[in-house]
This record gives sequence, C-alpha cells and structure tokens, in this order.
Amino acid sequence: MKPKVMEINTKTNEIIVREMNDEEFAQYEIDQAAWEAEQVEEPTND
Amino acid sequence: MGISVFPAPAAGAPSDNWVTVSTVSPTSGTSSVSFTSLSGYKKYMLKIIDPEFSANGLAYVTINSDSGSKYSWASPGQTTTAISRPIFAIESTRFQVHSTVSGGSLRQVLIIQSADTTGAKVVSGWAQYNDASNTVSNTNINGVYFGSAAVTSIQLTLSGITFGVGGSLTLYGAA
Repeated sequence: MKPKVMEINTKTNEIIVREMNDEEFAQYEIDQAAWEAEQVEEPTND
Repeated sequence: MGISVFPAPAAGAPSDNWVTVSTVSPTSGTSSVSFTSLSGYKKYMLKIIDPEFSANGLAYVTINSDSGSKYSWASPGQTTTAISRPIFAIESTRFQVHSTVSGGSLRQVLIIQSADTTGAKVVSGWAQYNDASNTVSNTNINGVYFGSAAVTSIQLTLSGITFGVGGSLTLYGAA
C-alpha cells in the first residue's frame, strides 16, 4: 500500500487523505533509497 | 559637527498580526501534509510540534508544489548522534528543514516572507529535536525560494518515511 498524502483546504477546512499518485510515490522511493544508501556509507549510532 | 536629526517614524503599517490559518495532527501513515488554497497573507509561519516518525529520515518543505531548482538554503546544524546533516544547497528542488528521528521528538518553526508577491520569498526557521537517547540538538535554516507566484500552498514531505500518531502542524498567517 502506498503512503498517504494529507491535504488541508485552508478556505473550507476540508481535509482529504489520499494515496500518493505515481509521481509522488516515485519520489518517495527515490528518497528512501537515497537515505538507505547514505546510511550504508555513513553508519550511524542507531 | 552638526547634530544628527532623525526623521520621526511615519505612521503606517501596524505590527504583524499572526492568526491561525489551520492546525492539524498528521494522519498515521501519511508521508506528506499540504496546506492548500492559501491567499491573503503576506507571511506564513509553520509550527511543527512533536510529530512521530516511522523511522529516521529527512523532511522537506516545498512551496506551491514547485519541484524546480528554485530553493537556495543553508542549514549548518542539522546534527544529532544519529544523523549528521550540516549542509547547504544553491539550486535545490526543496528546502531540507530538519532530520527526523524515530523515537525522538521535534519542534520547529519556519517563516516564509513576501508570500503575497510574485518575487523571491525569504525563508528562515529553527528547530530543536531529541533523538531516541534524548540527546538534544538544535538547528536553523535560512534560505530563499525563487518562485514567481504568490504562495498558494505549502507542503511538508518526509523522505521515504511516514508520520506516526500524534503531534501537530499549525500554519499561521500575517496579513
């Protein structure tokens, strides 16, 4: 299941929670991979 | 040597009157929160109080969902025992506003100036976060968004992780 996006319309106070679209999910996966790659290169104290 | 004479301040614009535009608690499993349909304010202030995160990672802010290379910023102190990110960027596609630490806590304020103009927007902010071992770190960010439209939306997006339960995001505006 894809992560969600929360949109708050500040004029109407309507809140929409939807699944990421393909473009958003692609960026999500790029960020996730980049972060994991950095952690391999620079181990943390976790 | 003559006496300096300073002009009296002109009666004019009142001080900023910050009002709450919207406040929300991120839904668990959400990776991005967007405040939309913004208008009528010269400045915005986003206050982030103690959200939970699914894992360690990074968080970004964009304006008007603009992913162009229009974000120039420096953040010299994004450091914890778990995450070290003393960085800057000249032509980034987003502001990296802080690190996220699973099991820790985060408090941050980010201010966007000149929001009602079509010119550049100066952005500044600061944050305090604790890692899971309760080690406190502080950071700040200063930058410019070289957009060409008034601010109509602001996005806070996590990097490949999601929000947990709790915390709040509050957006203020000053007309």
